[in-house]
Amino acid sequence: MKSYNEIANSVFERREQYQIRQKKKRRILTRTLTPICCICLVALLAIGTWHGGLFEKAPIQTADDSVIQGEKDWYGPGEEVPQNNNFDDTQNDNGDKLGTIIYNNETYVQISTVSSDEITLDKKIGNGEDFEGFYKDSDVSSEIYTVKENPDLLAAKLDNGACVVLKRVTD
Amino acid sequence: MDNGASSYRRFLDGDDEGFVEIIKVYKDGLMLYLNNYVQNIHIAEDLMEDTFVRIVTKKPHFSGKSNFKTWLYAIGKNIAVDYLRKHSKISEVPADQLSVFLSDETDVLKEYLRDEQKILLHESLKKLNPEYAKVLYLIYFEDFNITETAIIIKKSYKQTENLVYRAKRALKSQLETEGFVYEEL
Repeated sequence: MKSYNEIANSVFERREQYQIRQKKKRRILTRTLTPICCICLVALLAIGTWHGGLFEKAPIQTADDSVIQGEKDWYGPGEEVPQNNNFDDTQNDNGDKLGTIIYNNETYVQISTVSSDEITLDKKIGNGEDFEGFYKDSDVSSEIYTVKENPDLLAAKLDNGACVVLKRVTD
Repeated sequence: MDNGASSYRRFLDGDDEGFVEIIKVYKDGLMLYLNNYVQNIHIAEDLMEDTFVRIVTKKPHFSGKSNFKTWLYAIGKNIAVDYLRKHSKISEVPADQLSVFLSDETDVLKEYLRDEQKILLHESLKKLNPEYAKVLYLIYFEDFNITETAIIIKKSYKQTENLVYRAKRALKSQLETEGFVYEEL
């Protein structure tokens, strides 16, 4: 039978062996867990980014997505824009009728509204109601001038001070 | 030494000598108690050492609700039960080794119990039901009361009290058949 000293020595020796085993286990666990944690982290980041939509292509717009239901109003880079749109170029974005004038058998279409200071009015060729077109039946009285800077332009000077620039339509 | 609690506190504070004191005081009693479970003094010695190793490595918290000896014996008992669970097949001891085992056990008994009458009483315990032998060992040889015994064997106070009563009756009749009288019974 062992004496108490032998037992004590044996107990402390076994404690040291236990501690060495525990350290080894901890080292193995740390060595295994570190790469696993890294992989998990990368996977989580990838999933997060994926859900965030970083890798997604721009959505293809369908007719249902357009502003006007049933009408496709956006076309992708590879898509062909249909040519037979019933687009009235005498109407602006607000639905207002664009000004037109027929002068010397040439059609002039409104391109912009500017202040009378921005262009130099040249020669008055008549009043708006003298010409076929928008200004003939308009409630707004106007005077039509040629424009010094460009012979293809006419200016309709409205009685509110604004000036509508019309450009000659060429074929 | 207050039953080992202060030594254990010293050990937890980093003084291994505290634990050596615990081993010195409790090794024989614990070994003889565990021998009641395994009926093999060498295995009981290993289990006693395992008990101390368990405490040294895991450093379990001793709350002080029971006394230190009760706590230590309860840990030893758990280790013995674990051992028996793992080694459910009873291994036969070869005849040539049996005499060595018995003489080792007698040496421990003589050293620990010293009193001849107690040694004879311990011999009689072996002939009883092991459950009776365990509780009677704790009460007669380790001076535990019923409450402490109940804590160690993990039974209620009432169950332990009944068990001790039946064990004492069985021991008395055993001693009577051997023509031996023990006045504390």
